[in-house]
Amino acid sequence: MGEEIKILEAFPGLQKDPDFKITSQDDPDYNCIAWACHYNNRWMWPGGIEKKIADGFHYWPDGVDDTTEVSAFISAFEKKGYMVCDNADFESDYTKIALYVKRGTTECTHASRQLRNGKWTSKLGQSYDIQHGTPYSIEGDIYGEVSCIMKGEFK
Amino acid sequence: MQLNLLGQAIRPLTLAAGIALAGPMMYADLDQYSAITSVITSHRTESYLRQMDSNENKYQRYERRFKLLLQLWKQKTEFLSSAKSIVDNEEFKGIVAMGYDVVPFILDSIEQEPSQLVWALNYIYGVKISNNPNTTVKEACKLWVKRLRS
Repeated sequence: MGEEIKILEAFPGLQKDPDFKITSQDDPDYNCIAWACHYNNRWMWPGGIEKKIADGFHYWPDGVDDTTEVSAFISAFEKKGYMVCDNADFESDYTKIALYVKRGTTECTHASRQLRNGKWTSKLGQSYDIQHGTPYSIEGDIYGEVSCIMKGEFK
Repeated sequence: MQLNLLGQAIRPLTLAAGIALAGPMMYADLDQYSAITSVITSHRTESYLRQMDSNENKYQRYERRFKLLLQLWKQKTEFLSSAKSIVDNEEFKGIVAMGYDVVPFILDSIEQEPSQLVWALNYIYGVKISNNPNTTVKEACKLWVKRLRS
């Protein structure tokens, strides 16, 4: 219960989201980008010195800009077969992801992924996986706002 | 009756005056739990105890500082995916700046609760624990604990 309260305080939009629930234990092995790509054993983030020196932090697609600009994240997901689309509505043949940026910037902060039940899932940094009803209910001070939605064929 | 009261008032003053005069020759410690004052007059024992106190205080000071920095770092970064934001955090830098003195506390922490705190060891020692690119954070925590405690 304590964890739930902590998350609700950090993401006030979830207080009005009836689909919010914690769906995993906290786990430092993977982050939101890895989770959006269906991995739970790697920390995916473009990196400078951190990438060279930090254990367990090793993965960013080859040939994609090593910056935190949202355009680099779009390129990374395009390599995974996703393309930019114009809405977050559920489409049974597609998996959708949402990319977030700090307000007023193009610096990417987070990614969430749509589940087969139409809800969304996010890995919150080092901590928990959560389910949320829409990609917008975790907007706020921490992740900023949804910058773009992408979709890829469901496999 | 009045003489008795006067005697009771003077006794602690006499004791305090005695301790003050002996000053540097003694080690005086007020036990915080029992409230018993012990006075040691041996130079060697006194300096040994002072050294022990000094070491203990340093250890406790570092532990307290580490715990505070760790708590703040967690609060500020636990929901972040950006490795840069996690290691550029002021509290994380504060932990790294404590250098080798903080290593025992980091090991205790990542042994009990594996986390990105292991990256502080990467910065303090300037190396990765494993050249295997598939090593996970939890595995890296175990490897660091094993190496530094063996």
